[in-house]
Amino acid sequence: MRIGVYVCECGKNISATVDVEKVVDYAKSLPNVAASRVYKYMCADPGQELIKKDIEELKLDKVIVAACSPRMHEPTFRAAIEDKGLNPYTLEIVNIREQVSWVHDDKKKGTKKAKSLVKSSVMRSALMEPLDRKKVGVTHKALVIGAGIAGIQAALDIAGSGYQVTLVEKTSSIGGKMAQLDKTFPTLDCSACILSPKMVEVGRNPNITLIANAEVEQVDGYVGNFKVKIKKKPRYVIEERCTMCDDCVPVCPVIVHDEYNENLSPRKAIYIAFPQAIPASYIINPDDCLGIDPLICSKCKDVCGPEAIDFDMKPEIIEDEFGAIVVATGFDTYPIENLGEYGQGNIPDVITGLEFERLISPGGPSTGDLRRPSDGKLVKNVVFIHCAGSRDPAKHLPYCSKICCMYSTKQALMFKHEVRDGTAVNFYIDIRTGGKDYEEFYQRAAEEAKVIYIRGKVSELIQDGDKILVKGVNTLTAETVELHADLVVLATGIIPSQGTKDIASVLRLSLGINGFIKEAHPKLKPVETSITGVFVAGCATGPKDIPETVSQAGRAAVRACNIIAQDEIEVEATIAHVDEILCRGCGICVGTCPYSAITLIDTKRFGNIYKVASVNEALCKGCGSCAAACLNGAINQFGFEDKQILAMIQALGEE
Amino acid sequence: MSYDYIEFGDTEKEFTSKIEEISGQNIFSCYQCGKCSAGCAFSNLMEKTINHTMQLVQLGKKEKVLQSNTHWVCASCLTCTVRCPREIDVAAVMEAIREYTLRYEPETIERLDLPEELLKKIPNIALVGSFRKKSEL
Amino acid sequence: MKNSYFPGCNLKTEAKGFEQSAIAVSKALDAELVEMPEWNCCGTVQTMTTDNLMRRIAPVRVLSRASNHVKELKNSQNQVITLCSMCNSTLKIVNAEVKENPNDLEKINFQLENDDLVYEGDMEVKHFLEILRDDVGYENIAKKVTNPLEGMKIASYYGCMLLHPEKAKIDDEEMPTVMESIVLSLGAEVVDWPYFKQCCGSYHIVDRDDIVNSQVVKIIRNAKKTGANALIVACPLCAYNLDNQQVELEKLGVEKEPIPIFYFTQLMAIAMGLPQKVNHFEDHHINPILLLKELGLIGKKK
Repeated sequence: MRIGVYVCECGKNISATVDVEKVVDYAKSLPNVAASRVYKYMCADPGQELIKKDIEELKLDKVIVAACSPRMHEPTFRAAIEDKGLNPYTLEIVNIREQVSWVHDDKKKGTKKAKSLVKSSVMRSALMEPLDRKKVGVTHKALVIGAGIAGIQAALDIAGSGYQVTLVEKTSSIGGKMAQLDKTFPTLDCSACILSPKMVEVGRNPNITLIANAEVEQVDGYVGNFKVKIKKKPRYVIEERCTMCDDCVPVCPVIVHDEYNENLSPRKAIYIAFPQAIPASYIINPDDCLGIDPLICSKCKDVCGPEAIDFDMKPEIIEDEFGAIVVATGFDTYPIENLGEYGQGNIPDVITGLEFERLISPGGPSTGDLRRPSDGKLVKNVVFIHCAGSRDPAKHLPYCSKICCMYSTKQALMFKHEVRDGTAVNFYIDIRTGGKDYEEFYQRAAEEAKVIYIRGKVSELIQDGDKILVKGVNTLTAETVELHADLVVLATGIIPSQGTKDIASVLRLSLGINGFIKEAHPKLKPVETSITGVFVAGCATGPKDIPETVSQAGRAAVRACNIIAQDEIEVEATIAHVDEILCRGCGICVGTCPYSAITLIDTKRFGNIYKVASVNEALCKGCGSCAAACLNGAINQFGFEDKQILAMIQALGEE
Repeated sequence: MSYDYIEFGDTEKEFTSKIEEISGQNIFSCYQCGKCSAGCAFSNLMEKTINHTMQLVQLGKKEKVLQSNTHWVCASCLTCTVRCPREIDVAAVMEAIREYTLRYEPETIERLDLPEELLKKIPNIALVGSFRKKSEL
Repeated sequence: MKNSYFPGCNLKTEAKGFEQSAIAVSKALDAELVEMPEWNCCGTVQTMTTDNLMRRIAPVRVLSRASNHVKELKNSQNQVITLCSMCNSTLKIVNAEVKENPNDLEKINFQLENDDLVYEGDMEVKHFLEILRDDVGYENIAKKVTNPLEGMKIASYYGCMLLHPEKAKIDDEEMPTVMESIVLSLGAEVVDWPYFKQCCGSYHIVDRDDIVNSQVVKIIRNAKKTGANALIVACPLCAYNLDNQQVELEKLGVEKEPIPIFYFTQLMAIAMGLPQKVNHFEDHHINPILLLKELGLIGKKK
C-alpha cells in the first residue's frame, strides 16, 4: 500500500491558520505514506500534475488531498487520479479549509487539528476499496412546477430545445404574481402586455402540457427517472367547451373576495381569474359554490349555452415520469397582519404594494382611478413605507427583499402620472438600485415627477379622522416628522410561498434559514439543489426581480435539458448495501431511510424464509442513515464502511 | 456646529466601549433607520434625535453626546427598544449615557431643590424613579 | 385559591383604592390576593445597566420572601402577583435576568445571607391582569357582574410598563386586548384608540412637569376624540400623572372638562356590586363619582 498525501495552501486561506509544512512532515511519518507534498493551489493544473506524476513515478495506489470541502473539488481530483488509472472512489479528501482554517484562528491548534484529520484519513484510505460507476437510463421529458414568470420561461425554454415539458400550476391560471402587476420597473412596461404573449405561447406550444388547478403530490425516483403523482382538482367547467361568454357570472348568487384583486373587489363562485387567463376557461371554486350540486343551485349550468359545466367532475391523479424537475413555486409577500405598529391590517387605507398594483390598474377594483379602500375617495397624497417588515431581524424578516425600493419608486411614479397634482412621499432607509437602468429610474422619479424621498423609518401609523397620521423621522434633517396621508402603501418583502414550502417537503429539498430553497452553491450552482436532477428558478430561492428570474429560468431549463438530452447518466456509487447473513429483518432501516429506498424482502436461509432488508440502488442517495441506525451492523455504505469509519475514530482518539 | 473632524483615537474608542459595556449593547448594530426617533413620544423636546445620538456614540463623540439633553428627556418608556429592527435595547443605551455622566462627570449635573409641598404630593414611585435615573443614588 | 401578593409603596399611600378594590375583587373571584410579609421596595424603575447588581438586590429579596410566602400559603402556585405595573415590570425583568445568569444570582444571594434568605429562581411574577385573564377567565368575571357599567365608554390605558420590554410584557405590545376584554365583560363599551401606550411622562413629574403635561394633553385629547368618558389604568404613577395633571392643565387653561381616571379594579368593584368604600375615590383629583352618578351606576337605591 502506497499512499500520497497532498496538502493545499489555498493561497493564505489555509496556510494562514495551518502550518502546512508541519502537516506534510507529520504525514510522512504515518504508516503506508509514500509521498507527502504541499502546493499553493492544489486544484490548479500544476497541482494536479504533481499528483499525477507521483502516481506514475512512485506507484501510488491511494491519494489523499487535504484542501477545501469535497463539495468543491472532489470531482476535479477524482478525474485526475482516474486519468492515471486509479479508481476515482479511492480518493480521500481532508477538509482543512472549511473545517479548520476558516473556523479557527489559533495556528497552533489549527495545525494540530489538521494533523489529526490527516492521520484519520490515512487510516481510512488504507482500507478503501475501488467502486464501480453506476449508470441509469433517462426519461427525455421535464416537469416544471409553478407557472409564474419563472415557470413559464423555464417551460418555454425546455420546449424550445425540442423536449417535452409538463407545466403544473396550483391556481386556475398561469401568470403568477407578475399577472397582478400593473406596470414593471424600470421601463414602465405594462406587465400584462409583456407577459401575456408568453402565456399564450404556453397554451399553444405542442411540446408543453399544461396542467392547471393541480398540485404535485408525490415524487419518487431519482435523476433521470422521477416518478411523479399530480393531483388535478376538478374545474367543474369543461375547458374545451367554455367560450368565455360570461353568461354564468351574473346568475351566480355567491359573492366572495377576488384573490386576483387582492380581495379588494368581489367575484362570483364561478369566475375567470383575469381576462387573459390561461387556460382560457371559467372555473367553479367548490369552497365558494353553494354545493356543486344541481339540487341546491344550478343557475350557471342552466344558462351555459355550450353545456360546459359538469358538476360530476372528480379529482384526477395523473402519474408520469420525468428526467428532470424545475421548481418555480415563487413567493408570497410578508403578511401585513404581523406589522402591529402599522395597524396589523386593521386600518383600511394602509395597504400592501401588491394591493396598490391592483388599485391603480385599469383592470383593478377602481378601474384605474386609484380610489382608496375605506371610502372610495380619490387619493391626493400617498406615503410609501420601504422595508415594511424587512431588514428587521428583531421581529420580522432579517433580509433585504431587493425589489421593494424599485417597486415603491415605480408605484410613486405611476401615482404621479395618474394624479399630477398629488404628492408621493417615500420613507426609505437606503435606496438600493442594483440593476440595469435602475438608478436612472430612481433619479427620474425624483427629478421629473418630484417624488419625495425622506430618509427614515416610520414607527407608527394612526387612523386620525379620515386620514392616516404617519409618525416618522427625517434622519437627514435630524428631526422627527409627522404627516397626514390619504393612503399608505407598505413595501412588504418577499417570503417563500406556501407552494415553495409544500414542494420542498414533497421533494425533500434543503431549505435555508429563511425558508427559501437552498442552492447547491450560492454563486456557482444557483439553480441546482441538494437533489441531483431537481433545479429551481425564481423567487423560490430568494428575492429576485423579473429580469433575474427570467435569466435564472433559462439556466434551470438548460440544466434540465443537460439531463434529459442524455440516454443514460451516472448515479451515486457510495450507496448502502446489506449483509443478509447479519440482517435480522427488524425493519428499523426501512423507517430511517428518508428516500424510501429500503424494503424488507423474503429470503431463503437454511430452508426457512426470513425477512431481510434490501436497498434499491437507484433510489439510495448514500446518506448513511440506515448504516448508522442498524443495530446489527448489517448495513454498510460503499466508501463509508464501518471498518473505515472506526479506523478514523480510533486515529482521532490517539494523541 | 456644521464641521467635524473625525478620528478614532483612544478617547473616542474608550467612550464608545464604555457605553457598550454599561448598556450591554452592540452600538454598531445600528444602521440608522431612525425608527427609535420616529416613535419617541418625547423627541420634540430632545436636542438631538436618538438615532443621531447613536451615530455620535458610534463615532465616540463624547462631548456632543453628553451636551445634548436627549438622554435626560428619555423617560425609559422602551418604545424604541421594542421597535428597533436591529434588536438594540436603545433605552439601555440612553441609560448608559446617563450612568456615564453620573459615574464619571457628576459635577456637570445641576442640583435641584425640590419644594417640600411637591415632595409630599408626588407618588414615591416617581421620586424613587427620578432619583434612580437622574442622581448618583 | 390564594395568591401571594406584593403591594409596593404606592398601594399603601396614593393608590389605596387600587389595592383595596383589587383585594375585594380577588376574593369575590376566588383568586384571593394575600399580602406577603416583610416586603420592601421593588427597586422602582428597573436598571438597564448590565454592571450594577446592587440595584437588583431589592427585587431579588422580594422574590425570595414571596417564595417563602407561597410555601406558607399551601396549594398556591409559585407566583407573586403585583398591581402596580412598574413593580411588575421591575420584578419580571430582574427575575428573568437572574434566571438567565446564575452567577449573578449567586452574588446577589450572598448579599441576602444577612437576611437568612436565598432565592432559588423558582418564582414567576404575574400582574393581576394576567391572573384575571388566565386563571379567572373573562366569562367568570362577567358572571359576577350585578351592576353592568352601561354608558361607560372606556379608553384602556396600558402605559409603557405593561407592554415593554419583551421580557416583561403581559400582552401583545402593539395590539393588546386584556384590559378591553375585562371592560367588555363588565358591560361597558371600549373605544379603539391609538394612544393606549403613549408614555405618560413617568418620573419626569418630579422636575419636568412640562414633559408630563405635553404627554397628558395628547393622551387625554385623543381619548376624548374617540368618545371615551373615562380612562382605566394599572399603574399608580400613570394614574397620578393623568389625574392630577388634568387638574393642573385646567388651571392653566390648556384643557377643559377633565375625564376621570379609574384603576381597572375600581370599575370591577362597582360592576360586581362590592362596597364602595374600597375604591377610596376621595384620593382622586378628578372626582369620579360625578360620572358614575350621572350614569346611574352608583347611589340608585330607588
